[in-house]
Amino acid sequence: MSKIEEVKAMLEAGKAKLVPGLVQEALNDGKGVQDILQAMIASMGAVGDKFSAGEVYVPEMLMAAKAMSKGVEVLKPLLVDGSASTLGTCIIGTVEGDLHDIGKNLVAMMIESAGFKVVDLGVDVSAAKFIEAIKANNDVTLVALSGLLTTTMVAMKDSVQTIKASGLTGFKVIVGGAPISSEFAATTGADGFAPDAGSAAVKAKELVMA
Amino acid sequence: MMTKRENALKAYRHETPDYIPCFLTDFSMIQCCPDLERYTGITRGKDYWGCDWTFEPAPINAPMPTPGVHLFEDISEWRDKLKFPDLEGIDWVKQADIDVHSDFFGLLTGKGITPNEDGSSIYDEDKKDLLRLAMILNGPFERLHACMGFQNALMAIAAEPEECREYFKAMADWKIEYLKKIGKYYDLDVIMFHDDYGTNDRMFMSPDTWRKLIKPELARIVKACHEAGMIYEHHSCGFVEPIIPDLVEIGVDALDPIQACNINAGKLKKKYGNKLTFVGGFNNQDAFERSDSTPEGIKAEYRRAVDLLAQGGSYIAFPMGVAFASFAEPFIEEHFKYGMSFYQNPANK
Repeated sequence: MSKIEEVKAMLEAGKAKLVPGLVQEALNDGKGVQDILQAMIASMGAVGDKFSAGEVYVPEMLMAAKAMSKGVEVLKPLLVDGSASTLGTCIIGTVEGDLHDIGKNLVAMMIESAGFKVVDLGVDVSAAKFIEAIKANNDVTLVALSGLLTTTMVAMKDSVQTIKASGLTGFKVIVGGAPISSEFAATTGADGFAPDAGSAAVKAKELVMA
Repeated sequence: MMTKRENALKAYRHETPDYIPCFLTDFSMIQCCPDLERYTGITRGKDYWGCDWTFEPAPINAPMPTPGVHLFEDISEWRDKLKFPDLEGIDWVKQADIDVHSDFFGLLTGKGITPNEDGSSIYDEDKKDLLRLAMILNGPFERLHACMGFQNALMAIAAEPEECREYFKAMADWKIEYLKKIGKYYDLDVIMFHDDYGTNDRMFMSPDTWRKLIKPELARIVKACHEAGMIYEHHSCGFVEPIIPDLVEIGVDALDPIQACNINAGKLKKKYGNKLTFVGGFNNQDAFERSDSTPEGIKAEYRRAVDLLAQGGSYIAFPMGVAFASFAEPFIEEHFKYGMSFYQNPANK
């Protein structure tokens, strides 16, 4: 098994303590920084697919994301701008009136692992705060809104419409969360919807690469 | 004629009662020394474990673990950092007297611990026909993430299962002693033991992980509850279908709220209804708690769940929700119209 394959296997197994050493060994073997990074991104994609298929659960996905993060730390000094981002910046937050952050955090991790720089605005985020963050960050390609409460679905719709009406362009909007269906997502005016964190990363890539 | 309590007990014994018991009309509910379980004030504070909580106003109306404030973040530290409350240090006679006189729904709706305005107790003569239930919050898994944060807790389960197992054993030991105190100092019928295991579409951990880490300890808790003379009802939000056979196996008497994401609830009721009482089954997300919910939609959802789960008895109507006040009226209206006469139809018995 090559070093890169070892990195991929250990990342998928969530071995956060082993991955940094293996990444360093892969570098020592002369493997390219981008090759290693892309291999790790592919591995996280595989983990996301397994999550969507119900083959792994949140604990395993969190451990894989942690392993990815530790591996990227080794690569960061060698990356041109110190960033592993290749797909632009994603602004993410839980909508106003909603304090749930677990699903949002999972999506943030998966999106970051897919190659985005993530700016996490936290919970209870108003439309104005989303707009402020889009203006304040360069290369925003994606805005992700999360919500768990049925009572804040209206806030999600309002936020999407306010962001879309702001005149700001260059990004796509994706929504998700336990009560959100593809039908409801369509009524918000969002560009995309994902039912879980694994498919959120796939959909995010699809949206910005379209 | 049976009392409401006797009628509800038939449902808990998996028999067919005279009418569908309903939490809102047939039960007296309390918490037993609620500060043991979480902060009970309406600003920010700690519970008896040292966990930090911040009260979130309506529509949540509940304390939530204060973000970023953890007792420990590494599971290996639980023995040093987690101080189990001293159950012997509580004056249980005095505490029980406070609890049975407390306004249960006031506590749930953000008023903190306040006595019933009329000074009444769940033991009063005019409440004697109601079934008495105590809600116990923050079971072993919920306490774990209250202590160390949700993501840290889930990663600990994946990375250090053996250490988590030791924690769950110790937590079950404490809960068992707590149940013994409740059995001794209160006169109750049912314990509703909260420990959430499900998200909207899957469990937080794999069913096998749950079986290895939590099931053996939950089995001990259920046994202790029965030995203390009380029925064990487990509360877990979210999707828990994969472990329903396990809950039956370890002697759980009833399960709530069986949210609608458990799409096979009807089949499971047919299979396990003679051993497990199904409590709830309502679709809060799509029917009860949407901004565009209508009384007609709420009533239709009541009938859907009842038609799906109540046949043959072993069923209790329990509409768990955060925006409860917004749907209670049509719910109760339909309960009286449909649920109270449901078993008069021989086909439903």
